[in-house]
Amino acid sequence: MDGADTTAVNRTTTASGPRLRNPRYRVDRRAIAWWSARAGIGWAILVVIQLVLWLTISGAWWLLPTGLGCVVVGLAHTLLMPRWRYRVHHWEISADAVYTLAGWANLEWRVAPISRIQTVDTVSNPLERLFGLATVTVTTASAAGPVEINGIGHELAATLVAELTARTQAEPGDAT
Amino acid sequence: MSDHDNGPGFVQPPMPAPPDETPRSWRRLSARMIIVRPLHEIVGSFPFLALLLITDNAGLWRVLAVGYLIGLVLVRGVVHWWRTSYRIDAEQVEVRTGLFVRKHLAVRRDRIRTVAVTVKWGHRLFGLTRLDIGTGREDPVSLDGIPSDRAERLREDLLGPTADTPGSIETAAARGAGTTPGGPNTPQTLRTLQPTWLRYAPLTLSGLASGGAVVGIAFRALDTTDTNPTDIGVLHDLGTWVQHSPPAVITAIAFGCVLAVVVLLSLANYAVQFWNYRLWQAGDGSLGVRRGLFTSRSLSISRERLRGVLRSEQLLLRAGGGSRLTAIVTGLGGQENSRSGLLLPPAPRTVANHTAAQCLGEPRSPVGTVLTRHPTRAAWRRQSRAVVPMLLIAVALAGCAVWAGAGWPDWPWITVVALTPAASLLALDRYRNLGHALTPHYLVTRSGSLRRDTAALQRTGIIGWKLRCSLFQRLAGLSTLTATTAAGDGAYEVTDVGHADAVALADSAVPDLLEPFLLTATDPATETHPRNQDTPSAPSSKFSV
Repeated sequence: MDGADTTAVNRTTTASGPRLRNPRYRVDRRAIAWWSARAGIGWAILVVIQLVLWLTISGAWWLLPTGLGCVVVGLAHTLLMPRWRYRVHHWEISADAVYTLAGWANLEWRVAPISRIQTVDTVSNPLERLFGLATVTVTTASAAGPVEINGIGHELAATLVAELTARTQAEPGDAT
Repeated sequence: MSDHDNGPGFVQPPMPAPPDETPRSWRRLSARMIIVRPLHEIVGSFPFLALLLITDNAGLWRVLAVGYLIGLVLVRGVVHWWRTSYRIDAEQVEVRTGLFVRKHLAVRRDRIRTVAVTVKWGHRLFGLTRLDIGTGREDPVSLDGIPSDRAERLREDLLGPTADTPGSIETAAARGAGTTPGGPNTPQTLRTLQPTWLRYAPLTLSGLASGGAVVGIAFRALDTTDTNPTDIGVLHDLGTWVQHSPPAVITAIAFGCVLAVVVLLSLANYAVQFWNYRLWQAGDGSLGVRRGLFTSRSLSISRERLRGVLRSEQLLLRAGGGSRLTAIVTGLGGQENSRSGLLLPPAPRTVANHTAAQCLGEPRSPVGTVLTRHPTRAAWRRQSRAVVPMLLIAVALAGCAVWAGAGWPDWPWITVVALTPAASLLALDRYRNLGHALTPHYLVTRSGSLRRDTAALQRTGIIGWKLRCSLFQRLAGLSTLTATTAAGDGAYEVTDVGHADAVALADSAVPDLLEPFLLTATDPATETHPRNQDTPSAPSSKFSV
C-alpha cells in the first residue's frame, strides 16, 4: 500500500544549483566585544561555582579537572566564537524582503517578505546597551519565531525600525 | 483594512447588526447557563465526587465536603452568568467577564477567521450552544450559552463578509471545485461516516489510553475506599486461580482480555468522537465539518483561510492503511487545529487522499503525490541520531557497572544495547518517510515514523523561509528548509535535503522572493560560505536597496 504514494523518484543530490549569496551588510564590529563578554560571563559563572564547591566540599577532588577543563574550553569559545560569528552574521533589507544569516557552527538563513511583516521593534538587554548595540526583531504571523538582526548600532536599529514600520504600514492586507 | 487575499474588491462593509439587537448594548448569555455550566462541571467531576461519597465509613465530613463543592460550583455558575456580558457591533465583538478581576476581551470583526460551534450534552438538553471565535492571534473568545436558534445566524453574521466575498467563489470555481449541481447555494456533502471505517478504531490506540484511565480509576476507588482487592469475592477467586495455573495460560488469557477491552473501548471512543460526522461544501465554497455523539462540534472554514491539509498516520494506523486528515487553517492555533480542524476521522488512505483533493479543490490530491526521496546521507544522519545516543548511554551505564562494581547492576546497559536495533529500524523508517514535492499550488512535505505527517501547504500561504544547516548537516551537505506560515503549526519542515536542493525548492515554491538573494551562474565565483565573501560594513544610512 505504501508504494502507491511513496517516494523513489530521483534522489536529487545536485552539487551545483542555485546558491544563496550573503546578505549585503555585516553587523557592527562592537558585536564581537558583546559576544565575547556574553560568552565570557557565562563561562566565568560556571568556573566560579566549581571553584567554590571544590574549596568547600572536601571529597570533591574531581571538580578540579572539570573546572580546569571549563577554563580551557571557555577561553577557546570566548576567543574564537565571536570572531567566527562576526564573519557569518549578515543582514539585508531589500525592496521586498528582510534577509538575514546568523550563527557560527550552525547556520540559519531567514527570509521574510516585507508584505508579511506584522511588527518591528528593537530589543536591547543591559549588556547589549553597554556596547551601544541593539537587536531588531521582525515578527510575522507565523509561529516559527521572529527574524532577528542581532548586534547592530542602536541608531541604525532605530532607523531600520522606522523605515520598516513605514513600509509595512503601506502594505495592504493582514499579512497572513 | 483591505485584504489582498480576498480579491481587490474587498472593503469592510458596514456590518448589519443582528436584527434583534440594538447596537452597542451589552447582553448576557442565556440564563439557562446557570444550570448547564454547573451540570457539566458536576458530571465531569462525578468520579471524584462519587469516590468522596462511596465509602464504608461514611463520615459526615465527606458528605459536607461534597455538598460544599456542589454549592461552590452552583454559585460559580450564577456568578459567571451574572458577571459575563457580551456586545457585538459593527466593528468588534467584546466580552467582559470575571468577578473581582474583570477581563475585557475584544476582537475586531474583520480579524475573525473561524467560528466553531460546540454543543455539549448539557447544552443540547437546554437548547444552547457555545461559539468559539478564533482570530489566530490570541485564544479564541468564547460565547458559551447562545440559544441554538440564534447560533447559526450569529455564526454566519460573524463570518459574513469573508464568507460571501465574490473572490472566494471565483477561486473555487476556477480550480474546478465547488461545481455544485443544485445551484450556487446548495450545500454539497463530501463525506459522511462509513461504518467500515470503524475497523481503524482499534489501530488508533485510543482504547489503550481510555482502558488505562478506567483501570486507574478502579484502583483509586479501591484505594480510597480502603478495600483490599482480595476481600472482593471475584478477585479473590481470580487470585487463587492465578496461583494454581500455568503461566503460559495466564499470559494468553490476560492478553486476550486486555485486547478485547482495548478494542471495545476504542470502538466506543471512535463512535463518541465521530458519530454523525459530515463534511460538506457550502454554496459559497466554504467547508463545514460536524461530528460528535455527546458533544457535537461543527466548524466552518472559509476558502481564504484554508492553507492546506495535513494527513497524519500513527504507526499502527499506517500499517493498516488508514489516515486521518486535518485542515491547515489560519485562525486555529496549533493544538486547537489538530482537535477541531479535523476534516476526516481515521479512514482508508485512498479516501483521505480523495477528500484532501476535494477540500483543496485540486484535481489530484497533493498529499497523494509521488514525493522526491531525500539523499542517502539523510539516512546516515537519521541512523547516527538514533543509535549514537543509545550507545553513549550504554557505555556510560556499563562504565558505572564496571567502576562501581557490585553497586550497579548489569541489566540497564544490556537493555539499552538490546533496544539499539529497534532504534535503528525506527531511524530507517524515519528516513524512508522523508520526502517532499512541489505541485502547481502546493508544497508537500512528509516526515515522521511513529506518527507520519504529510503536509500540503498552499504555496501562496508561505510567509517566509528558514534554512538551517547545523555543523553535522554541513559535513553531510544537508539542510533543513522550513516554510513559515500563519496557518496551522506555523512552520512546516523539509528535513535533510541537499543544500542546493533546499534553495532551489524554496526559490521555485515562492517565485521572486528568494531570487534577489541568489548567486547566478555567471556571478564570479563567490561561495555561499560566508567567510570567503568580503562584504562592506553597513553604512548608517541608505541601508536598503
